[in-house]
Amino acid sequence: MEPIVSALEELDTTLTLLKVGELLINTLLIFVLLFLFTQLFSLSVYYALFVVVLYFLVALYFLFSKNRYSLVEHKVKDLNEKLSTVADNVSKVNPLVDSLKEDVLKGIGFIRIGEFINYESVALKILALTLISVLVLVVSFFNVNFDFALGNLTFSGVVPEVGKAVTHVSDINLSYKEGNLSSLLGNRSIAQLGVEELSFSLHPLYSSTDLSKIGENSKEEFNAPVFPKEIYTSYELAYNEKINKEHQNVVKGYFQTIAG
Amino acid sequence: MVSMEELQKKFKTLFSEIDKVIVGQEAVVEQVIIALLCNGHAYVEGYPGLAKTMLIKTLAGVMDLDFSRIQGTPDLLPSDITGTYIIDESKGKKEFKFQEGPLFSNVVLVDEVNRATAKTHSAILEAMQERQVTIGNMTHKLESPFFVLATGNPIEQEGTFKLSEAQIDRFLFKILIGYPTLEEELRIVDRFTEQDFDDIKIRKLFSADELLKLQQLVRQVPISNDLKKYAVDLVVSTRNKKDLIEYGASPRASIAMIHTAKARALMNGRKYVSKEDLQAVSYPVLRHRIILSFEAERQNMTEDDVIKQLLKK
Repeated sequence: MEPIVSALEELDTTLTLLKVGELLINTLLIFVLLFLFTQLFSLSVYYALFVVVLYFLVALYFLFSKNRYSLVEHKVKDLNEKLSTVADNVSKVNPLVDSLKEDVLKGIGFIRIGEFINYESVALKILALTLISVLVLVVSFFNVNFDFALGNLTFSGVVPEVGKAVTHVSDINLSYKEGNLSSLLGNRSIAQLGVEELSFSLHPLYSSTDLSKIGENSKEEFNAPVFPKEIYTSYELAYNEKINKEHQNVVKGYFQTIAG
Repeated sequence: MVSMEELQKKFKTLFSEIDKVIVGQEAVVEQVIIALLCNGHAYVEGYPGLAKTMLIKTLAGVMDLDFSRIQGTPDLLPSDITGTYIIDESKGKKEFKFQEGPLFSNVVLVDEVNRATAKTHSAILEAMQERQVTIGNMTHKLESPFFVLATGNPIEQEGTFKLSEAQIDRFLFKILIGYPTLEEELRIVDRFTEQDFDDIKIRKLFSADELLKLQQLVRQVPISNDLKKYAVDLVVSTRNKKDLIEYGASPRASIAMIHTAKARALMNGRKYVSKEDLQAVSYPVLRHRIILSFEAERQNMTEDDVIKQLLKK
């Protein structure tokens, strides 16, 4: 292998590693920043991941599609336009190209890789990364978030009980969003139906059941209770929610109704 | 192979030799030499009395090349420039002998080419393109190097035969020659009132063979892919700038851009093409290959103004 070929390969690898390293720091910084954002606004962490992956891929594409030698040419004036020319014509053999290869090979010896690292910028980025990471920890620990419940940006505050010894479940004043209770209370629109009769029909075309074979409901009689006595329903205050006082009776009544 | 330092020194001497006769006009001299190094032809446009003939005559002298001059007139016939068969009786019997015309020279100056008729234009253009002339059914090869410098006068357009776009595209460069500055004109006056043009001794620096070798060497000058793309992008952009350019440049312009940039690099003692070379040659390469739109003409823009806009992008 020609000395110029191995020199160019070495230079390219070093520059690629430097640039990829810088890109990783940038990506991490953006991720931590977005993660903090998702924590504060109770958004899914997947949003942050999606944006960061997209940024990384696009930046990587531009990094590899760009001529990395131009970076050296900007720093080392003696190699300006020579390096790219030699790299693009490395397979050609003629007196001019050969002479240019020799010049470039000499010039490569004067390249100091340290010149391509912006220490100030890297230090600042790492500092920012550390600060944001600490902020993420604080936000997670004290469960700080902004609530959109009233349509306005409101600050829900720090949970005061955190840090104290938890003696009873009801002591914990859990902050919640209405959406979080859907698994317990069911869909809000159905809940509002209350005791009203729900009427729906099946479209014959979209149903796998042959509707023509379905007749009237037959009345079934159950003689004795089939459930063992040990099984019974009861309700208990499982958690203390932030429900307005005037609504508490309505909620309580609702749970009593569904509990039979 | 001659070293780049020696070559650069030789070109510097060439410029200083030409400077003995031609005052100023460095860009014009440079462009003419580039066209010569690229084995192309140049069209020079300028007002009368700007030393166009003197320049090409001096260049032919410095390069040790044969020089001939054709004056374009409406009654100029193709046979007047290509040559014709004459009856030779010198050997005691009558036989046809081919008498070469002025095209059989290394450097041909076609003065006021637009005054010649279309038929004569086609004879000149065949010589330029094919490097041969056809008389009857006989084709005669022209000697290398062969360089045509055609001149045109931007004024007095009455009774002229404008070269078509296809014909003018054959010229590698369109060189604009302007008036000298006041200082330059004072030097011209001093020089030519104190001594005769014939008294100025010019050294022969390049032989025809050396020039042919240099033409080969120009092709070997490497260029980076980025710059190649830059040149082609520039030419393509002339086709897409519909607001100012009605018809853009052909791929021949892309070839000319890169080829002439290589020659300029070599002339300046560089073994590689730089962006500056491409920008410098873009004006003479593109200005005769684009046709301005009505909008550009309405804005009183010249071809060079439009090229300048394209270069700024």
